[in-house]
Amino acid sequence: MQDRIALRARPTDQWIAELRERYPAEASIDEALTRKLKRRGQPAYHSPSFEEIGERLHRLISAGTEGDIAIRNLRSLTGGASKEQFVFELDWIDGGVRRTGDRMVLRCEPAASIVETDRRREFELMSFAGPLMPVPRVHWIDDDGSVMGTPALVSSFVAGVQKPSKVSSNVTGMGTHFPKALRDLLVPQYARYMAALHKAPIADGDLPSFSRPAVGTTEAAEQIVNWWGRCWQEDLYEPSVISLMTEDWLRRNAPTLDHLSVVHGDFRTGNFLFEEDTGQITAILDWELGYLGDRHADLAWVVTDLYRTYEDGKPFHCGLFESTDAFVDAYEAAGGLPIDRKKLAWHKVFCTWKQYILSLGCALRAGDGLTHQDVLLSWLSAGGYPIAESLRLQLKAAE
Amino acid sequence: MQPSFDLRIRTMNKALAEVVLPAIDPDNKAAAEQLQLVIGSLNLMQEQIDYANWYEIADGRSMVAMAEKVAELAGQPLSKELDDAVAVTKDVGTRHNVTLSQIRDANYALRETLCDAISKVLSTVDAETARAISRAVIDLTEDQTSRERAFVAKTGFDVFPDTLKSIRESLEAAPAG
Repeated sequence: MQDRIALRARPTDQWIAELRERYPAEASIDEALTRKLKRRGQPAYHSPSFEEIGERLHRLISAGTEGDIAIRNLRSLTGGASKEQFVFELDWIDGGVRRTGDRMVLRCEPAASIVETDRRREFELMSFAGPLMPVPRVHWIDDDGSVMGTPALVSSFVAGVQKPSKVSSNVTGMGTHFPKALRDLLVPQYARYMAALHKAPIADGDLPSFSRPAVGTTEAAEQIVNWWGRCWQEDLYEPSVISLMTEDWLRRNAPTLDHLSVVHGDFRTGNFLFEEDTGQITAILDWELGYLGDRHADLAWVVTDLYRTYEDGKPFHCGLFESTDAFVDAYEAAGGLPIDRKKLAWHKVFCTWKQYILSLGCALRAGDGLTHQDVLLSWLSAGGYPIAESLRLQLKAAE
Repeated sequence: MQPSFDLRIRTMNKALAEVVLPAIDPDNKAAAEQLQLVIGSLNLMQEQIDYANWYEIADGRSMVAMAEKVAELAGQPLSKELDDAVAVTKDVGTRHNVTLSQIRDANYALRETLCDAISKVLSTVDAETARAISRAVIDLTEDQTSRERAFVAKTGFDVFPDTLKSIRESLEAAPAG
């Protein structure tokens, strides 16, 4: 017992190699996860000072733009459970035009994160999605952390809110329920953007950091099960029978891919901004969990039980959709590709398992002294238990 | 023993809510959010702390019941390591001179060997037996899941209100030793 606990706390090269072989992941994911393990066991994380961040940021932007720049009002930004985020105003030259006070967002990786991802992938995805939907414009990237001290990304700030001002919710927007008038405005846009993402053709040169599972095979399903199975093995604090049974079921029932899509990976309430008075969606955020694979995963993520809300005792998905049928209808009406209910059910089990791993594996491990918001991650981990109940109910229905 | 855990947690919460929170710069949303979470976490611990020992004993008994059921369905002992872990969990569950962390360690070892044993047996028995084991294991996890949900219900993440029990109710439903 002590052996495995010690290995997770201070991974050896041999243990890392065994995990990589047992759970083959796409190259850029493998790189991010391996980097995480090699960093593990280092001293507790302390955020750098604003002065240090400002100085590094100045160097990063200056190296990638023309003329003098000025950074003002650098400050922390709340909202996410993953990256350390800052907002600031920038004076700079954009395409030959002098601009003053443009608001920007800096996203930095802390020493560990609930999701270990790759800023290059995020940069490529946001650039890809920009023509399809409102996405913050991405400007500069430090993908190896050589300037900022940690991998980082700078994008434009987009105005908007995650939830109505008079509605309460849990952390990271979970539990947000929208009143009917707002639902009527948001749902068609939300469905349209998701449908557009999934249908978007992926040209040969697009998204070079991503692997492309073959259509007509189960590679796409195996790829994501390996990704998250590896995360679980790397991060778990307690072995879990329900996780074991779920992984076994997912592998035995892996679906075949019928169309290769860009999958956002976290397309839920809390990860889009909107104008409260008009109901206009202003930005789709948090692209770091995206990958190329099966569109059903994005719909399944929304209908997982964790994101259930209630109105007059009636359950809703993500505070937006009255039922799975209502969501699928809206998606297909918005021009989405056809939805196969059996594949949707498989992806719901997968997405619920991913939430379980994020809660009781990744959040706890990262939040054990390695981030700027350990107490938030510790709090979030409690969500793993209702998720376990959701897994149990789904597996029971499927067996 | 005074001051009790309960009193100490209440006084910490009062200080944080009534003295520290109003002193935070309203523009520092990150600090305010984290302080609210600290207060929430202390409230959660205040509710959990009285049941912590009972929880671990119940957890161990549930896993012992699962190990015995899987062995019965497989028609064979699962592994010597599992038998040893079951014996330790049963032992610490009946002693008075044992710390909470000793019970947790015993449960951890049992959970790990149980997962290893289930994984192995599912890959070695015939398909029908594997299906029967899977069904039984999934059914038996209900008891554990119910307990875990009850323990963290105050975080507000639970979405199955019809089956959410109080901590006491969930512990009373655990298998007898």
